[in-house]
Amino acid sequence: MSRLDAEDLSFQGAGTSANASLGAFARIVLTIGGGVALLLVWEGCVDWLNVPPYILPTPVSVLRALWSGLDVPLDSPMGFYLPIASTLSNSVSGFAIGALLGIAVGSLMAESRVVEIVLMPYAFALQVLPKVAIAPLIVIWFGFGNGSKIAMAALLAFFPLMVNAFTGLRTTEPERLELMQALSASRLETYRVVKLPSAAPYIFAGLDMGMVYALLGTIVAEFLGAQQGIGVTIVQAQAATDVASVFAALILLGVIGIVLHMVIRLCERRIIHWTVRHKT
Amino acid sequence: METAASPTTVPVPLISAARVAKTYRTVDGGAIEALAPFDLTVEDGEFVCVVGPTGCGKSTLLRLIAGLIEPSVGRLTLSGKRIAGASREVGIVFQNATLLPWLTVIDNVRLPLRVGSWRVSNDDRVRELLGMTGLAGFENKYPYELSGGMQQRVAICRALARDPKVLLMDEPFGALDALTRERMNTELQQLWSMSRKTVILITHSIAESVFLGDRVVVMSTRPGRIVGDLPIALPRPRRFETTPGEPAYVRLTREIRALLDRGASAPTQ
Ligand SMILES: Nc1ncnc2c1ncn2[C@@H]1O[C@H](COP(=O)(O)OP(=O)(O)O)[C@@H](O)[C@H]1O
Ligand SMILES: [Mg+2]
Repeated sequence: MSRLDAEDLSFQGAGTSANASLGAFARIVLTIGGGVALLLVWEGCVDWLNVPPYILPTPVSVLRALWSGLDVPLDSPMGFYLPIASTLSNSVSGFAIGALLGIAVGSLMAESRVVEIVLMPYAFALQVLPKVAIAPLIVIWFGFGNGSKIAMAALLAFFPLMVNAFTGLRTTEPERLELMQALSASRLETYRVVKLPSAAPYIFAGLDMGMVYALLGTIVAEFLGAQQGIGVTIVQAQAATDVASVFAALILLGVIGIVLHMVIRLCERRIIHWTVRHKT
Repeated sequence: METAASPTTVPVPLISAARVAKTYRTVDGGAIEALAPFDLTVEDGEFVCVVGPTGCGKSTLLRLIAGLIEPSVGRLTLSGKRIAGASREVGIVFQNATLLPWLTVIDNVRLPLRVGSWRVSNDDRVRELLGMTGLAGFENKYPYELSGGMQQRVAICRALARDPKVLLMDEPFGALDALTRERMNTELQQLWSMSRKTVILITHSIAESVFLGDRVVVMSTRPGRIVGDLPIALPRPRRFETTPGEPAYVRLTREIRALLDRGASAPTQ
């Protein structure tokens, strides 16, 4: 994550001053250099201490496992591409469903005292419940196909969006609401024209969190049983004590997580440009 | 009911408050008396300034006239009709420009024409307003790209978008530096003399109130009472180069300061 932030900074600072970009460049070099050093130490220790490969594989064998999964046709059953496509499409669909429902319920709670009073205690109770514990139930209800993966992703994405949309809508600056009152705007107009854009920074923070959770939900559902997905790849590799492949799958998951995070950050920067400028 | 039927024949003041008072109820059941009962009339086309110490109920007075809150007692009318809710005849400028940062300058000014029950599309008027306030060429900028003075100009345009009779301004230039403030005062005087709006401007600057007002209403500390209502007979257009040197200007500022001091248990300003 911190590596990513450093890149974000260098992206913003690009072209502002030679000094700033030099600092960012040095930071990237340090980050990558540190990573490479860590891998060398890892490789050396495994060799030196004779750690068996089913406990901890060397970085080289992890890379080999990664490459053997990528250096295949896109539709090869041995490759990583099909599991990636499955996990990605399930978690993104679940994320979209959960996010929309979360924003909708959060909005209803923010707009209506009655809905708030009815739902808030249950929302809180469900929030403290570790939601992955619901996964077995979800599998019973939605089966071993894509349904349970999407449902689990939606469930986990739902809460951060509900909470953040609610908080964002409720913290709309009172002056802006007074302005809308002075213009005799309707409730729907006030929601659409002022409250929703005011809550946008909160909602984007929720989207960022929700995306990570959706990926987590999909993987957990895959662990419980599925035909395809990175979670399945991990479980199968574990059963075959192919620990190098487990590591390779984890690397893929990390890359997917980072890419999804960056997509959301990019949308955020495009859509709510005014907050980015405000801070600087 | 009584005078509303024939507003043209009976001389009704544009705004009239009779024994109006406001007490806020707090969430814990307490009561804050913001405004003690007061009478006030404002004629069509007048420029009235209200000065008073912080917390004396100036914003409350403005919110009452804007129809954002209801008086606890008394009768408050606009053109002879009791004020009930916001009216298209009233435009309001808040202390912070309160522009919507996700809208461009022109879309902020268009906002009053896009929401509420008086939706019309009148881009000619919007552009005319932007031209009059020196904002031509800035239509597609975002508020964060503008200086504080420019932002407040946009807020004034927005308040005038529906062509209201009354312009209410709540310490509109309080956050600006002294030079920008003087320039804004001069521009506002010009805008007022061209448009002939009725303006009620709240300020805690004595200089600003005397420079701009046909009248200056002076308020006491909370609960706010009107402790003075002075006509300002200085010739217009007033200029910052000459007006503050006139004997009448000096006498009036002194008088207002004395009224403020008398109306305050704690020293003002
Ligand atoms: N909504 C409210 N609820 C309770 N008290 C309020 C409310 N609005 C203002 N007050 C109180 O009423 C008094 C007058 O407020 P205000 O009209 O904003 O004063 P001013 O604009 O002169 O500074 C203040 O003491 C303020 O704390
Ligand atoms: Mg105030």
